[in-house]
Amino acid sequence: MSDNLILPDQQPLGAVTFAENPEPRCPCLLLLDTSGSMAGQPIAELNAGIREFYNELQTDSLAIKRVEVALLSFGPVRLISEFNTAECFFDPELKAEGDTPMGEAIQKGIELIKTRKEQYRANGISFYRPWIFLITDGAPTDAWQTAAAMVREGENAKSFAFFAIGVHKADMKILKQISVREPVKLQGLKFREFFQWLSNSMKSASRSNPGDRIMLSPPLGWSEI
Amino acid sequence: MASVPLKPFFDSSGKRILLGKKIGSGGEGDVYEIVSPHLKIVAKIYHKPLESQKQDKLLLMVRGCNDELKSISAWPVDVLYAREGGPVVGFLMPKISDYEPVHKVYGPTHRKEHFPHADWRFLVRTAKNLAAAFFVIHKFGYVIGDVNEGNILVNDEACVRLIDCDSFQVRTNERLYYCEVGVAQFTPPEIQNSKHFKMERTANHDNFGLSILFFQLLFLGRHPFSGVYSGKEDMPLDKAIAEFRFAYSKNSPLKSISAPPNSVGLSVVPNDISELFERAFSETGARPAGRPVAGEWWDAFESLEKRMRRCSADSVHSYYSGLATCPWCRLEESSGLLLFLSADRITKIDLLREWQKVEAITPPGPIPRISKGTFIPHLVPLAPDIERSLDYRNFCQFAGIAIIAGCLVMVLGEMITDYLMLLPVVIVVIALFLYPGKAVDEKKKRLGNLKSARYMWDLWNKKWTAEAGDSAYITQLNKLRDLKRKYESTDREYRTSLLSLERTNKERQQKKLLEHCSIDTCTVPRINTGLKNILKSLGIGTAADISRNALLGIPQLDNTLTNELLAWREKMERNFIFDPTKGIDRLDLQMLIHKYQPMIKPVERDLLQGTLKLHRIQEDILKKRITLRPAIEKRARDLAQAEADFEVFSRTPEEMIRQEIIGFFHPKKDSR
Repeated sequence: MSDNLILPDQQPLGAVTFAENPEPRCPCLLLLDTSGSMAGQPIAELNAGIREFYNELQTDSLAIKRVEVALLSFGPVRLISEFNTAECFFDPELKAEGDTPMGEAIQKGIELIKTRKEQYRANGISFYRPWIFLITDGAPTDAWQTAAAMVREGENAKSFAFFAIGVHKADMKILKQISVREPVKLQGLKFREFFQWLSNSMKSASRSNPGDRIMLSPPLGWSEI
Repeated sequence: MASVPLKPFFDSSGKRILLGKKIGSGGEGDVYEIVSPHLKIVAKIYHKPLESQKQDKLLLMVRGCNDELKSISAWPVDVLYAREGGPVVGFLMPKISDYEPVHKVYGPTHRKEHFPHADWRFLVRTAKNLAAAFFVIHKFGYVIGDVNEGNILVNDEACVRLIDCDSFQVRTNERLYYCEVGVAQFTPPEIQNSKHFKMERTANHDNFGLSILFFQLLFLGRHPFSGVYSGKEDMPLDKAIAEFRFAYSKNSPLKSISAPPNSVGLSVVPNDISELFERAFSETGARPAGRPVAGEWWDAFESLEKRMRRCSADSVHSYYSGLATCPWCRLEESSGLLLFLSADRITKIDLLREWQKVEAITPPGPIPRISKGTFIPHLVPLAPDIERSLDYRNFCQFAGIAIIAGCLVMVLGEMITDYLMLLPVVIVVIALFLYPGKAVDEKKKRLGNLKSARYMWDLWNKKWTAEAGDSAYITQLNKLRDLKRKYESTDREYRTSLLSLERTNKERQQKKLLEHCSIDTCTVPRINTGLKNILKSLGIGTAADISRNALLGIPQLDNTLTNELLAWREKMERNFIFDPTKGIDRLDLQMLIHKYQPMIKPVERDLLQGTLKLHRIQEDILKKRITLRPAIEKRARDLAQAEADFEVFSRTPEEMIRQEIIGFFHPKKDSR
């Protein structure tokens, strides 16, 4: 039926926030493995790390307006928090359950980035190259080849930068095949140190140039390098 | 907090400088307070030893320091050494307190939070003062180089100060000391693609960054090169700048870029200012000395300030008087944004009048009933041969039934004992029932019609109920009622706070008066200067601070002294005459407004837009009732007709049996 009842709805909230805060955006997507193997201390440390990450960003008056974080957990794949500036971050308490559908998570994450970029473009908001951080302690339990191809494609087109962080018994070989950049192994459960480093990197990135240059300091203090 | 370096530093005259509290920290060094008497001076100490040319640069800047530079920036007033005759390790500069970075002024969210009183007039004044600051720097031959949103500070009187001066470019006849840093958002197109900043920067480069800041101040935080780009690829800011894609330019269509939604264009500023922007951001500006200089901007803002008007609908809206209507009202209305916090009231709408608008929308009322019962079908008689065929068929079937009944009687009466004898009878009956004829085809045809008429009716009736019914209207109306309640409760809360503010007005006026009676003015002979200083050090500085409890336990006070102090306070109190015409203190009132305005604004917006939506829904329903009506009526009529047409077949014995069987399995099935 072509003549369905279609009413122009109210202004989407997104557009209003963009007008009130037209600063260029620095999007960061966290793909978090919450499979059963993360249960116990690992998930507790991860939660604490994210909380500190948020707190850290909120203390910076420019980062608070520019950095946007989205959280996607997998096992099963769930969008915990849409892209939001630090002013309205959602502080989740992640639970460990299920298997590791990493491929699906990556695909969904890339889709999420794509949608957000379209919103930026439609609203005339400049943006920095998005960052995707994949954090996992296992190996994908689903088909990940398509996801890996999408990561390669996105990296080549400079649509985003994809980083893989392996925890514990993570299958670094597969991570290497997924990520164009060299995956990094987390030292023990140093999630807090990792997020501290990430917030510092985001703060300085949000001051640089909303183009494609990537300025990451070396992953010191949390990685097995 | 990091530990304070205990060892003293020395200024260029060899005087010892002792550092106090650390008040800031940056990539290159930390900033410390100075132990008195240098109250208005702070020190920056570098983390790492300085290269000799950086030391030379600082010495040059100190030599070049003058009152004009000091008044607008944290200019180095003297260098610091760790030991006499050693290398320069830091410098002294004027202390700048109670200033915020300029991005908190131009960004609407932060402005409302940190500069709640700022209106557009404030933003223009900030721009003018910024122009003045750049004018001074350029006048003495310096270049800022790293113009950015973080090293320009603004206070609540719109005064501007520049910080991080040690990165400025300094030139002498012999040599040039570079500014080696920069931020892409403020870097001009002509040097946008350079890999580093080890190069001579010019005032014309600074003037690009300066124009960006002016634009952000005047156009609610929007970056001039951040727009809606129609190309396929990403358009990062640095690329947009390098390609001169000024999104608000009159030439922007040629550059495939346009201004973002919910923004205001160059039309809100006078022509001379919009031409300055066009020049600053165009290819012409990239030529040597091509951009407008700080002085030109200052003149333009000065003349704009004389041509400002206050909006009659909201006094916090100042705008260029050359415009016919207030651009901020228009944008606030179309976007639902709160651009400036109002100083007068929390809401601009009159709820009663808005609600009258809601009530003026006539409810569409319940859906008009249309059903097959509305229509009287005209009976189409069967063709004579079909009629005959049907009659014959009915006759056969009645005969069949009669035979079965006869057999049944005979079986019950035990007249038939051999059931095998019934077999031929059964065959005859079946033959009688299944005897084909013209009527069977006709029946099939009419049953097919009936089925499709029913199907179409169901389909269209569903659409009719959904689109011509009033449930969407009622849902929206209820939503508006909720919003109205929310609006009223916020408004009530605001009024209650306002009332309590008024109720305590007298006390607060009195308190204010007492706060102005300094203890120094107390003329009681025994309260001498020494005692006054002790009292002040204990936080008793004015008559307002004096109470029996506060004086209790001060060893220097005996009973008489305490009573004398209390008597002094009472005497001061007697001087107080309440002035009810004075009303509530403006600052208190504004604080209240600024608290409630952001709460009520979204409700106000939803209410206004929701009313329009209700109107659209109502119009749509009424329209659908007209446009859909023929279609639904046709389906009802078709159904009525199809049922009437089938009627003649539904009275046949087989149909009645069929209906009985259906009725048995689906007892409550409604056949409309």
